[in-house]
Amino acid sequence: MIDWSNVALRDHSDRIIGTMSIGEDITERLAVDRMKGEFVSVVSHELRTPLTAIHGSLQLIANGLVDSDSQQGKELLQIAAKSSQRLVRLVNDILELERLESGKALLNREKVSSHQITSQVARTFKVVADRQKINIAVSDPGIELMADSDRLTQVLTNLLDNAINFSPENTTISLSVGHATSSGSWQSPSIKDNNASTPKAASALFTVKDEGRGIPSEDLSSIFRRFTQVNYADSREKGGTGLGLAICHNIVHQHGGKIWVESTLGKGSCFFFTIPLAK
Amino acid sequence: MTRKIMVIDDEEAIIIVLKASIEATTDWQVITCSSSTEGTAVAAAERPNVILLDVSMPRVDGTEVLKALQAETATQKIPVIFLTAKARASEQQALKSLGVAGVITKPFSPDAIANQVRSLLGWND
Repeated sequence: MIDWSNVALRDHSDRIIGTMSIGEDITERLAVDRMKGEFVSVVSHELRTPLTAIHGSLQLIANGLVDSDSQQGKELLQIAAKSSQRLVRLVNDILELERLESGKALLNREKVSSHQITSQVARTFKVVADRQKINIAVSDPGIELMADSDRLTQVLTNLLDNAINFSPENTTISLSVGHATSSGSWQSPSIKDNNASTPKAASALFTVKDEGRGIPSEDLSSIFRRFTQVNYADSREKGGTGLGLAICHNIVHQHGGKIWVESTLGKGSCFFFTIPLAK
Repeated sequence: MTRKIMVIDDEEAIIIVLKASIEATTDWQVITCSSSTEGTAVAAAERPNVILLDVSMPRVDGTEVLKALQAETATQKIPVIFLTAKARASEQQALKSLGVAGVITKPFSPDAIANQVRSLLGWND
């Protein structure tokens, strides 16, 4: 779309002798404005929903409309507590994503062993996995990476958290690390992100594989976008904010890696990402 | 005659809070439905005096439920009030233009929600 500005050109007698027209291509600006508007709308909705539950529950009790000691009062307090957790997670994720996307969250890259990160993440999730009768199998020879270990931990934490949330009992989640090169196994996934820059150096390939319900093929291409959840009810039942994978995507890209997913409905999903090796 | 209010919202927490708010401030009967796909059938069976309809719901959203309600003989005369977290003026205007009795924005006040419904529908009780 072109935005035209027209100015009349006049001579000494103030007679119009012509016009000067400047055309500015505003297509991109309009697209950005539209995206911003959509983002604000989605954020507004995502924030207002838990806020409504918190505000309503507490107002009912504070105004004496419901007795806090009654069964109904206790239920409302539970709703307020649960919704406030959801709100905190959401606000944290929104701020985190904003910091990552604006470049304010700079990576602190250093040499680190993949084993240090995978073992820490597996340890963190052991209690919750045991409680849900899910086995976490780690296969990691210990590869030297050039990475921000906190951020890499964040990626694996998000992926494992999702895997556990969507895994049935008595199944296994496999977390493995291996070598990948630019002509290696990550070149032929069914879904790849075309926006990533191709890493020049050889990389480590991380995989997180679950035996959960899988992701419909039509949703695979949008799964790393903000506020994309295959099932909206997941945000309530599973506690997701719809931003976890967008954060993973951003962190992996900042490392110069790629992230993608392969999935078979009813059989499970496998998330892959690459991180450059230490030189 | 006791009013019958129907709430269609996929958020269980919102349904509980809304039901508690209306029951604490009125003698209206509140019936609820958390599935947008079942909303029209429940409304046809229950014939409420008004439907409070959430807009953003998975699979079938509130605007589609409204179309189904308007198309069904048994439900087309039941007034519908949208309940929405969409707060922007343009969004609210677009919703109002769909032929609803009104739009109530989340978060709502438990003390005031029944009066908002009365005001939108011109009820004096």
